[in-house]
Amino acid sequence: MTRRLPWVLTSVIMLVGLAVISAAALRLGAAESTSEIVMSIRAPRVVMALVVGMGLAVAGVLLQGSLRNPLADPALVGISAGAALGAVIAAAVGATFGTFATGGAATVGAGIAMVIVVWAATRDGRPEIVTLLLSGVAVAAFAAAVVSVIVSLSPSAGVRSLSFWTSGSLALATWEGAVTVAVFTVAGLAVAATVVSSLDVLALGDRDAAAAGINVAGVRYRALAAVVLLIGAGVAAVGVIAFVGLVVPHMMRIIIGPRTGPLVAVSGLAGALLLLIADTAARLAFGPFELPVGAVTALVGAPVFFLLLWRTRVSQGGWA
Amino acid sequence: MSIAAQLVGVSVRTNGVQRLSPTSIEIPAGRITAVVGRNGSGKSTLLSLLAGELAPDTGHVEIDGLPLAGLSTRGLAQRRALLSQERHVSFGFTVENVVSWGRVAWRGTPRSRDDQRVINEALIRHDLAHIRRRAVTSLSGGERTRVHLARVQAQQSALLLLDEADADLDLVTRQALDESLREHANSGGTVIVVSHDVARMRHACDDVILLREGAALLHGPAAEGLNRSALRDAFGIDVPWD
Repeated sequence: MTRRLPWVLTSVIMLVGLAVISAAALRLGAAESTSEIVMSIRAPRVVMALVVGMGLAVAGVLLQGSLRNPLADPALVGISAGAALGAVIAAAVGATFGTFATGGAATVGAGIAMVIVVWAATRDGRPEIVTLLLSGVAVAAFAAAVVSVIVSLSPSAGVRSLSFWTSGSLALATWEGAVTVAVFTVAGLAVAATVVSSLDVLALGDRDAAAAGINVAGVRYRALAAVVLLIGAGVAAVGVIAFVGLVVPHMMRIIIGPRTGPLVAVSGLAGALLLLIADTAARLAFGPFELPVGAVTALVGAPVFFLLLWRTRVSQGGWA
Repeated sequence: MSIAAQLVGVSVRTNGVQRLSPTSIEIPAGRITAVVGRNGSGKSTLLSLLAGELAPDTGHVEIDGLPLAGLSTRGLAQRRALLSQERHVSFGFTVENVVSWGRVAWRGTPRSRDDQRVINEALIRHDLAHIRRRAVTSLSGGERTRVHLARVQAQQSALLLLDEADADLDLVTRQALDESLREHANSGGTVIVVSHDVARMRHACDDVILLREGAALLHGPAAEGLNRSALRDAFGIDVPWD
């Protein structure tokens, strides 16, 4: 028998963890914990970590399920870079960070990147994973290059530093930014809720899933639309954070099994928890210096990606 | 004898190649029909037409007297099930999860009340009850085949289509497959099998459709139809045949 933990119990454990770590994150820091600092600096940052982490992890579940591949991650397939480009363009023409305008522009950028990558990788009506990852590399490289051009040429301080966009940071989180991301995350979750029960069946492969009565293209495109909504605004607010969307669904699948509904719920909570822990570590580990949170997640996530790549290759007997 | 499915003046042309010449075929209910022919003779085209995956260029296809063109994805799934050679399931879903997907077509209908009972019956019928919580990714090839057979049985469609579903099965699993197909036909269902195992088809099937270059050479009882001269016509070589 495959040993698995009930997902409700796992969710409760995650919620307890969230409460404990949130309380700690609000109290700990270089500066004294005055109510002013807690409420206007630490609290929005905690909320931002929770909503961004949740969005990344749920996006990973949906991406992996709809593309039938455990290696898919919003950053690895170029969607996050597309979002960053959208946000930077909006900022360059005068939009303010952490607002609906940049969040919306980033969502459009994520959507365009998604359409390009999925279109390039689709053969006989079915996305092919190696092409998808390679197209993702190309789209991500191009979008990152344009971001760096715009950042370098921009006279506006609002466009901020290049490292913000490439490694991600929660240091500048505001209430307005956190609420904006939360709104997009809720919209993404609402779209996701319409497909979770059908997404499981795609694991049969497109042909057999369709024969079982699933509208395969409809389910897949709705799941991918939810990914775009979950990713865009978060990238606009905190930059590109890789590997959360890859590692969290994978770990949760080992713990509770692969059913999409429970996996979305548990991964959402685990993603929030992981990013909060990573950000608190990034903030406190080498105080008063701060690490970019994206570097912390990549330090953990990249080796896991490598292991996953290895195992997938072994189980498929090679790529070509 | 009632008609389970029929092609009425159907032809298919893709990329300038005639896949199926205008063909009319009636598939009788309660019987197992084999579709036999060389690669490229139109077997898969015929099956895809009956599955509703492929729309004909001329003519139309009916299941139970209903034109397929008017049926939704779910409507189709309630009337026909498909077993392909695909045994791979992404991610470690349990045996019971996969079998339960056979019930997707009945979601939101009164028949979904029977879901758990139908799933349990299918698990027991295919000797899977004791491994219902195992991950399908950990199963042997024969066990996986039984999982997909149970899934298709749980779909409760009268018409069952098999597209080379026996391709990589050993003798024992092929026999188990044939037994469960016979059971389906005996209980009033209809089975259409595309297979290269011609010798087995003669015993396992009631009727045969012999195809060559997109045309039906013959449609009749398998025991008489699958003879040396018919096979020579279909395959263009002398087949060792007793």
